[in-house]
Amino acid sequence: MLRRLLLSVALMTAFPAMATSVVALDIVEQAGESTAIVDAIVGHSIEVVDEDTGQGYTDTTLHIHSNVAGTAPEQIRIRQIKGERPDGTRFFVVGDAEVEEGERIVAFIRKYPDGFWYFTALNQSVWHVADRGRDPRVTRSFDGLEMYRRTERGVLPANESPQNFDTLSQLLSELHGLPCEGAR
Amino acid sequence: MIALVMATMLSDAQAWAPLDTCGGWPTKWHGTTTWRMTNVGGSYYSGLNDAAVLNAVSDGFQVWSDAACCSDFAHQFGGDTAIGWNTNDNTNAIEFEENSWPGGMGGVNSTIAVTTPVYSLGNCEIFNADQLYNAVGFDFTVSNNPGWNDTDLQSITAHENGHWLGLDHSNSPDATMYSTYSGGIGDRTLHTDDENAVCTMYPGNCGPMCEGTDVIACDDAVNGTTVGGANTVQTWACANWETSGPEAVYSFTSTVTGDVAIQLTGLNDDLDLFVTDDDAGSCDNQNCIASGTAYTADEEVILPAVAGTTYQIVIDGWGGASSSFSLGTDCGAGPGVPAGDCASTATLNCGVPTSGTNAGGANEVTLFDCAQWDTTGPEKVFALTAPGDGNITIDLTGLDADLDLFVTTDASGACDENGCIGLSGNNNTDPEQVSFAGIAGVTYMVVIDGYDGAVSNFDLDASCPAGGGGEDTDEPEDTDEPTDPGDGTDGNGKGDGTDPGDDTGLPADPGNDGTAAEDDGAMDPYYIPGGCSCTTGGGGPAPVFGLTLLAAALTRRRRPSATP
Repeated sequence: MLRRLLLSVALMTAFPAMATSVVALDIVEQAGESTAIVDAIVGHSIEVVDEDTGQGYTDTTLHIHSNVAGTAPEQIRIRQIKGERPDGTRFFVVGDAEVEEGERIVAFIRKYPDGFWYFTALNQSVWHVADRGRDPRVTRSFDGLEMYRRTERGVLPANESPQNFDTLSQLLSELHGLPCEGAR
Repeated sequence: MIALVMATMLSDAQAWAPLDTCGGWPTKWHGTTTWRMTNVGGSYYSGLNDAAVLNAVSDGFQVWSDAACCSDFAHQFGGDTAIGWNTNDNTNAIEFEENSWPGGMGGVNSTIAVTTPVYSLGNCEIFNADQLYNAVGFDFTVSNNPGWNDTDLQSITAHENGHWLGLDHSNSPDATMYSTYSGGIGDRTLHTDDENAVCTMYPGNCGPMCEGTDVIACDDAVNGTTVGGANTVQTWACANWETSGPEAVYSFTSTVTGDVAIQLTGLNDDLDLFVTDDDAGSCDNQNCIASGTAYTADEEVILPAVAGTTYQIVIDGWGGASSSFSLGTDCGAGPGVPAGDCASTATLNCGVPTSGTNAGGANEVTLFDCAQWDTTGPEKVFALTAPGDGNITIDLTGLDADLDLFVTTDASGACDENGCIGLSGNNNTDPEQVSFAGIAGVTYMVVIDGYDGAVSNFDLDASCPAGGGGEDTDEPEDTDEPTDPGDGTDGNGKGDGTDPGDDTGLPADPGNDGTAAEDDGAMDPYYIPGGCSCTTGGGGPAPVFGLTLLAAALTRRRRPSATP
């Protein structure tokens, strides 16, 4: 009984992160993969199903406060491969970003030929602006991301820590005006 | 408490985490995972031949099944499929995308490979997963020395397959599931933390192993306990009940080929006895050879042993039980006596009556080989050395509870429950008497044991043959035949059988139980010349000489009406 209790507690306290294998992109590289960098408020999410394939998605509205770089409309829908189906199942891309309605984010986004917007590089592409009273923090999570770097010896693992900022303005000044080439 | 548990779980010793949880239970496959390779253009991936890809992917799965701790994660290749990535088709496809990297999977120049598990929110069962390898933006290799712009496929598959089977990243830096792995082909093999993860989430297969450094030999016996032991085995392939108590493990190498009796005695809770193949010094709960099935009673299994072969003997607790125990092996010469078991704590001298109690004594023996009833009360053990050759009679009287009397061989200062020389098991507070043929200078163990846990005061006396100790020195009236009432109450208060007045011309009857009916001229039941005299409470027909002690004991019915 104790073992079961401990296991349950342990599992409930486990890291909530997801994961996938990615090459770490610095902000210039990521801007080069993006259509825009936006300062936005997360809106409502809906789940949709592709009628042809049966594949489900979650579309989340982003209310664009400002284009930090590149250009995006005032309101867009970000598509993610995740959802909960009526049959009580859950699916997702391991390592994708998780955003909550009402939160403020700064994100690299890219518009694909299918007409939908996506986060450029999953969890790498989103900074969460957390209002912690007088001590707001702008943080990015690499939870669940297996990080690599391209090197002269090939694609090798890399120790990468997410770059965080004390203030939103610090982040925005880093990102402002970066060349977004993902729309070309 | 919670903080302590969290701190423990987040320590490097157990850094792994499941991908998600449902009601506290982790995401995992239930049963064998069948994966398929997407083949739409005549090959899996144009950069490598199919066999190389298949081997790398398969090895990436197998590394999790081959975990040293015996994970139960099972997988199989289900063949090729023309279906690619889709979380809604239950295909479990592994696909190399070479043409167009889909939106939602991350950047084409960033994402190397993605796993998309699908699981039930009710029980977290993963029932579908796809893997997509980005061959648009990356070149995959199976070389042991990845070169420029190469990505080691097997390292990636080993990591991604960790996600496939339900694991999240580990915070152990050496782990395959560490989010920033150490480089090169290092992630092709698992770290201890990875193994702990897969074996915790997928226990079974060859099972959790129990290791013991203790050894028991042939015809040996040991005392032990499972209290405070590790509880690593919950089920056994040869039993259909759970054994959630701690285990004690003994390595046993047989010196004989044939049946070896392994006995577990002295239990005060429900321990079970298992014998398994030896698995590199550990038990193997999936290769269980034999098991005992009793509740709190003694356990015995017969092992068809092969000389020179090592087995693991495991004492495990049913329902969380733990207990001290005695473990013995009988390879033909009979099990030994555990050191210190049933040790004598006093000396009994012939002709010197003594009084005492078994209260506070150890309960080391619960079954003598000559008895068919449990003696679960504490013992009081006396050492008695025969002063000369001849019959010795022990009388136990003055009882206020049901004690029994046994005489056994001397096992280094302790009684031998399997070396029973004589016994007396009368009901209730009836006096007990044992007579046996003593040999000068030989020490015997006189054991007063409580039936069904009984504790009592007692008086004890021994009448011995002439010798250094002086036989019947307390019976001058034995020479006074006319005054001998012949009822066993003479002199020492008992008819000891050596008193010629007690019998009528028959050979000395050491089995005289001292009752008034005893001086009937008949031999006591179950008297075995040179062996054991087993008295009964009610007398009975005289047995045939030469019956074995065991046969006598087996045919003897123990106190049918005396059970409380």
